[in-house]
Amino acid sequence: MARARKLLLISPQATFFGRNPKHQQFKRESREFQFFDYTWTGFATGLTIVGSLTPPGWDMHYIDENIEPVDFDEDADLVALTGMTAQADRMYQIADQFRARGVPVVAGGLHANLAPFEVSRHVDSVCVGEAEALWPQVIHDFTHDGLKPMYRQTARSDLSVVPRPAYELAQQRYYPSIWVETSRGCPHTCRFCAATIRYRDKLGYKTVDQVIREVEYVQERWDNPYVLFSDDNFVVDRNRTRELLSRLVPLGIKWSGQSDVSFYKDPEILDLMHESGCMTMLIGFESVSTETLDGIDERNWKFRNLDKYVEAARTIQDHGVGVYGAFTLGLDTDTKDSFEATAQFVKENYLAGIQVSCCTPFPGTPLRDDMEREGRILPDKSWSYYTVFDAVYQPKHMSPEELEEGALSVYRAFYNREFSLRKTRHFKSIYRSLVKKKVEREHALATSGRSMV
Amino acid sequence: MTDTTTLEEPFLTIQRIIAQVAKTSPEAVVLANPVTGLTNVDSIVMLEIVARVELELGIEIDEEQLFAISTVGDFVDVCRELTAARA
Repeated sequence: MARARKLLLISPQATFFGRNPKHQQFKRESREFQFFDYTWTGFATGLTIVGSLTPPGWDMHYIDENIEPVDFDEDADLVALTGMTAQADRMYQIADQFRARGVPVVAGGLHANLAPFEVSRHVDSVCVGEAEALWPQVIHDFTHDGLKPMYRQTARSDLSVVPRPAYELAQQRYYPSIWVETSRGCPHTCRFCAATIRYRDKLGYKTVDQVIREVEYVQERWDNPYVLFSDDNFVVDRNRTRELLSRLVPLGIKWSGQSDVSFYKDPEILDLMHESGCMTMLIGFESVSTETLDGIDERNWKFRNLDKYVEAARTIQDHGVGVYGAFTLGLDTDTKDSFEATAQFVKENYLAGIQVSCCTPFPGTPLRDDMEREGRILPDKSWSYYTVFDAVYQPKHMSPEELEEGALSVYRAFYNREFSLRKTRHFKSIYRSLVKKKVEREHALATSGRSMV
Repeated sequence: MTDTTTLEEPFLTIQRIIAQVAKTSPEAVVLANPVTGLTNVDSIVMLEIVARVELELGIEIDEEQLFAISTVGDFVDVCRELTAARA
């Protein structure tokens, strides 16, 4: 009988919350910020997809270098690497070591899509596009000694027929939240967004049945999983979202997702989000400045919606869904006053959580093209600084150090005991009124002999 | 030895509510559990738990007291004090 081939699926080590020691110190010491890792640490979804596309006859070992070290002596016929730009330097080191042993290395994922020619200098083969469209061919060519240096996707994958990711590969490791993908793509084309420009420019959806089966599969393998829907924009197709949320209610999960603010006008979606266990929605506000939002996306959608941010945040949170606001600072119209304005907005609106990042010129984005032309990219900042919390370019109205310090100042203003007490009071009053209504409903149902799901 | 305090109110109410809101089994909720380490319980879930406990027991826990709670046992103690004060 032929020996099973061995595939190593490796996610290189990354730095969460930036390399700046002050950021790291804040992350370590702030009691109010402790849930950062809990909410946003997940496995490399791309590798579980590759796992699902690998035919029988292969043994697979999934290695997340944030959890366990890579054993460079481990038997392997083929290595698959993935990574964001911040992981690229480490990705190249890992590739070098395996290739020195004669083990071929294939790279995919976001950075390989953004900078395929650079990546190709470090690996045997680069996948540019979605794994579903490319990986079967890679495996076929490898087994026939014909691995090509680059694979490019020519047609978009139909997500409604893709296999379920091989969640079981990551099952034995501890992950605070389990990432499940229901769609790919986002209708907004923001100038600094790497994912939607190069990875998937048109939206694609899994069917609701597919998603429910995946969540059930995850529930069978993890005790009470906290599901993080990894879609770039979870609430684009409202009808589909309503159906999906209705089907999630009986599953009894707790979950978070990402979206723009538009769903705040849909009370049915808001009620269903709360009923289905939605804890927080990460919303890309990006900025609270009219000047900064003007031209940030191709359709100027975010600029046109700025005046609705306050009402949107209040409405969503009044429905029991916490708003986790994402902001990008350091764009060309931002000044040192932008930090205070952002801090004021997040506090006045009692957001449940915040992500304040430094604008980052990822390779392949229009933003990077502009900055390269203007000579503003900092040459001493390797890819490992592209964490979105480190300043890697010269901002127009401040120094890179001031940008990092200013972003951190928003965190300090928000995550502290005094404001957490105020925020807790605010949320407790929301929850008291929601719970009152819920208990009244439960009593009404109990007296009518029915029960709530 | 059985810890008799676990068999009394308000522990039973708190245990039932945590299990109901966090969708976990009541047996998994014991006095020594750190509240932030409970399965399925993050800060927002905790607020729903607190709101339900407050309504059922007819008490109000202020934020300073809430912040001082580290374990289910602390939570029980605070509720016991507040219900006694109310009586």
